[in-house]
Parts: sequence; structure tokens; C-alpha cells
Amino acid sequence: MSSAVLSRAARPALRAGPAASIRPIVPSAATFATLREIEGRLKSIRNIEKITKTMKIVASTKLNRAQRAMTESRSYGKTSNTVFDNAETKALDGEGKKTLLIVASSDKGLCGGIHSGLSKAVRRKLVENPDTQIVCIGEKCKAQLGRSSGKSIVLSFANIGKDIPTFAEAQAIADQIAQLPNSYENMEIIYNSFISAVSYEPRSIEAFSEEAIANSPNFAAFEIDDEVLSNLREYALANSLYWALAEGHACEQSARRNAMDNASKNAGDMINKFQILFNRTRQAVITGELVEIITGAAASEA
Amino acid sequence: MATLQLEIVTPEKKAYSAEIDSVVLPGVEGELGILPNHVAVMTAIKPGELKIFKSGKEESLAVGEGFVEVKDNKVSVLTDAAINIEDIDEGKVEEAMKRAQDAIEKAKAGEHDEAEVAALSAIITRSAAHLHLKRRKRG
Repeated sequence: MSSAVLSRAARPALRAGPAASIRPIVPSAATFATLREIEGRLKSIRNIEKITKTMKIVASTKLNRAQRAMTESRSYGKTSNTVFDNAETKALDGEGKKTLLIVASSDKGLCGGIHSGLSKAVRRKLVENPDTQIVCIGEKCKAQLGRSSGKSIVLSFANIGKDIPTFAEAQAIADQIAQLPNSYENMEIIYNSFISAVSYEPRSIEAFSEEAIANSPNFAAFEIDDEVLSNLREYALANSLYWALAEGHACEQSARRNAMDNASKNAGDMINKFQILFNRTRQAVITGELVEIITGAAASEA
Repeated sequence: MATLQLEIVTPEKKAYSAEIDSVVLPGVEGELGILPNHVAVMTAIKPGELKIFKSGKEESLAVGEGFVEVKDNKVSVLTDAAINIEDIDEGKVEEAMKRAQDAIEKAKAGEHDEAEVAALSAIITRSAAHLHLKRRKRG
């Protein structure tokens, strides 16, 4: 009976402390149980911190490799696209032109707003041009876009972007896209462009159709066969895809590194707060027990 | 004398970048020699040997499939692979070629996917080109 009263008396001090700002831990339960609960939570936060720390280290090492691959693929993709820049190739526009959006995301989450940023960019494009069809690379964007615009998705790929993308993967995807029943006048690849280790933004690369390439104003300067043209188009699509995938992969790793870094820091903060709460609660319990013993002894003496 | 700027890029790295005198490419329609002031050309290349002539010296690279763009004394070669002939490991190439051949036979016996067979044939063509180059170099 006395224990209940005393423990209630000990609590106001706790409530005023940092504990109040964290989270009320089932306040009605007995003090012993609360202590246990705090201990359990502390342990699980410590475990989470370990996991996020490890994931951060893994992402950092992957990021180094991904960044290297990205730089190389960038020079490859840019060289491939200078042809079109020089030729001043422009996307054909006008009524009834079909556009295909290729979204280069990946399968894994826990990397900040990488995938939702892409999905948002895609949705904006869809609002402008509702007939646009979508090819999703990676499960994440497929799930996000599937909810809002599932009908537009014509093709999707999974299992890409676990590791550094290879050119063979990009080629396989380009092949599948070329086999789609509809022919598209314009193709656009949406990917996360790597600006720095902490920032990225969704951008798009145009992949031109044969018609668009043949119609470009400065293309007549080249000696070129029709067959080469169609090969060139497929090859350029694979190049651009590879570039987009490699850059997206680097962004994902850097975003994951940052996300996990923040998560580890937050876990550290929480551990500190819970440690203080734990110590105070333990002290309160000890004080309570002492008072009980002393009152008990005093009562039996009297 | 005018020179050419040659750039060979593969998905993995920039394989070559320098001022050169001339280059011979394995075009799909036969060997193609490019000298300075060449007219603008865009063509596909097939797996084979790419010869670079630079201040009297000759260098050879084994290249895979890809594209070449020639414009304003700049030659850009985009290809899926570019290897120094000295770096070709004959044993490995032979092994890869054999594996691809076996896979094709197996695929043809059962149900097969045209694309898969085409990819395997591409491996064989490339390996054969590499082997040919390597053996000829050794003489």
C-alpha cells in the first residue's frame, strides 16, 4: 500500500525530466515493469543503431564503387549523345505522338526520397501528357506509380540496381523495350542525377526515334545507311539507359548512406534519453524500496 | 600535318584518348581507314582489330561491337569492349568460346529463345576475333 503512494510521489520528478518529451511508457504499470520495459527498449534501439551503422558502412563502400562506375558511364553516355546534340536532333511533337517514359529506379528502399522523387517527376509528366506510357525499372517506382497510374505501365523490370548496373543489363532492357508492340515517337528516360554526395535531382535524357534522328537538321552531314540508323538508335538507347542506371545507382547509395547516417544519429540521441530515463527510474525504485524497509522497521519497533 | 583526335569509350572506362595520325576500323562493311580531314561518317563496327597509327608507331586494340562517329577531325568510337591485344588471355577466351558453343547446342536441342542464341553467337564472334588477333600478333 505504501509502495503505491511512494512511487506515485516519485513520479512527478520524472515527468518533468527529459522522459516526458520522449514517450510516455505505459505509466499505469508498476515501477518494476516500467524499468524492464525501458531496458527492453534501450536494447532494441541499440540493436537498431548497430544495423543502421552497418548499413551506412556498406552503403559508403558501395558508393565509392558506384561513383567510379558513374563517372565512366557518364563519359560514355555523353559521347554517345553528342552525336544528337551536334545534329540538333529534336523530339517530334504534335498530335497523336506516343511518348514512352522509362523510369530508372531500383528494388530497395531505406534510401530517403530517391524513389518518391522520381515518381513525383513522372506524375508531373503524366499530368502534362496523360497518354504517356511508362516502363518501370525497379520494384519501388512500380509500386508507387502502380497506385496512381497503373494503367499506363506497360512493362516493368525487377532485380536491377542491387549492384552496379552492367552494360549487358542495359542492353537487355533496351531489347525488351524495342520489342514492345507499340512504336513510340519519343522516349524519355527519367533518372536521379547525381549532383553531389548530398544532393540529387530527377532529370531526363531523351532517347530519339529513328524518324526524329533522320529528321534532324544537321544529320545530313553524315554518310549514313538506314540500317545503321536503326542500329544506332537501339545502341544509343542502351547507352543512355546504362548511364541513367549507373547514375541512379550512385544516387541511391549516397542517399542510403545519408539516411542511415541520420538514423544512426537519431538512435544515438534516443539511447542517451532512454539511458537517463532508465537511471532515474532505477533510482526511484531503489528509493522506494529503501523507504519501505525503513518505514517497515520503524513500524515494528514502535 | 593535321592530326585526328581519337577517343575510344567503353561502358567501363575511357579506353583511349589521344591525337593520332590515322586509324583503321573494323567497319561492318569492311575495314575503314580514317585519315585527317575525312568526311563526316557514322557507321557501325563489328568485333575485330582497331589499328592506331601515331608518329610512325602502330598500336592495336581488340574492339567489340559499336559505333564510330567521324566529324571535324574527331573520331569517337563507342564500343562494348576495347582490350589491348597483349592483355588477351588465350586460355580464357577459348574456354568462354567453348562454353558459349555448348550453350548454343543445348539451347538449340530444346526450346530456345532467339535472343539468347543471338547473344551467345555474339560471344563466339567476339572470342573468335580476339583469338585470331592474338595468334596473328604472336606470328
